[in-house]
Amino acid sequence: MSHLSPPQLLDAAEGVTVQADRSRRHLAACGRCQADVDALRVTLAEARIEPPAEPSPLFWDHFADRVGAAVRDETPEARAGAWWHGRPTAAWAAALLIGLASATITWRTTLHAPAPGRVAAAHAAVAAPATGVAATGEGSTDHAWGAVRDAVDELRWDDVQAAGMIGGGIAERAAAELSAEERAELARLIATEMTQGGA
Amino acid sequence: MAITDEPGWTLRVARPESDAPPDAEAGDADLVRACLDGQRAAFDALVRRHQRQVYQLCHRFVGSHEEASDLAQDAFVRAYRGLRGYRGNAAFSTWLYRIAVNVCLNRVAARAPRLVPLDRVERLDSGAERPDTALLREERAAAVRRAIAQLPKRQRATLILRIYHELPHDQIAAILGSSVGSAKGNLFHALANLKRLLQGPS
Repeated sequence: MSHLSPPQLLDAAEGVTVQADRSRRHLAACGRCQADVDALRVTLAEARIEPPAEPSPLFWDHFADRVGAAVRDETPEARAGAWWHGRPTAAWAAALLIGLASATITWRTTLHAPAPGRVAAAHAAVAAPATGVAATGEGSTDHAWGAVRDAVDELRWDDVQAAGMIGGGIAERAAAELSAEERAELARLIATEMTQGGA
Repeated sequence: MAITDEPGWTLRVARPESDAPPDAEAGDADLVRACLDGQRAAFDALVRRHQRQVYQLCHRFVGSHEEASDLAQDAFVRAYRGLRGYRGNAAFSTWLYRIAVNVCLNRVAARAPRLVPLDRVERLDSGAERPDTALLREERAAAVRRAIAQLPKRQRATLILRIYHELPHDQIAAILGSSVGSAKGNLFHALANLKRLLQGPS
């Protein structure tokens, strides 16, 4: 015989009137389930013996004032929760840029400096006019930023903003610390990635 | 600010005072909107409307007036900061309870349950109850309090919300971020554990 499940036993103990006929019939016939329901009822009644805490009536005004004072200098935050919550595109975009910046720095410090010819080629490759997030204004005279702008053109502005990359985000700070040659190499890497990705 | 449409007529548009008391009949969602529009009095109204429930919820978790006051205040401050995150999908009280439960669970996770010795249990207003009956009742209530303090966190939260705040299972599920079946299962196991704890070692 299949006994009642915990939710069914609980419903019976709490006196939920709408029970499936099958549950009701089982309960009437099963001594074990009926004993479980009775035990739940006794424990529920025992738990209810504890009355709610009721402080002095004067407490409530005092409490409301306390909370008012605590939030006086606060303003509701622009957005609750983690910025990447429900925004996988933004998370991936941030991760991609951080990864590319890290790879460039690692490449520069551990392996070899870029050959002059390759740097010149990269400069030539990124000489196209910039669009998209150029509104930041920073580095507008540096052609190497052109490829970075092209790369992030694919991103939705909202996602980039949500990712915190505007106005001092991690990726932007990392990129800002690069030299002109490093930026050029970053641009080359992004261009390579985009070519490989079929972009 | 004055707008003149015709000679001799002046239309004055008054901006509402940011601290003007909100309409007493205003719903929670209206108060939230007013608060986000800069009316601090609206948040004060929300606090006054929900403070008793939030305080009593916190008191159930920690068993002390001072700690419960601090936790309830913390819950309201967090609610204020995160007010833009309230999307109105659920009742404001559900959203607020969720914050308060999280504040309480974080607190109780950080330290062992506070057990009040029987001789320090606050005397209840027992009315015309005989002294020995009142004492027995107080002892039993203290035992229940101690037993609840030993329950696993989610079971404790479920039991408190269901038994002492009489919330429906679906609201409890929304507060704890679980399914209704899971909320019922939690309550079932909480009661089973409570029974075992109240019976003591056999």
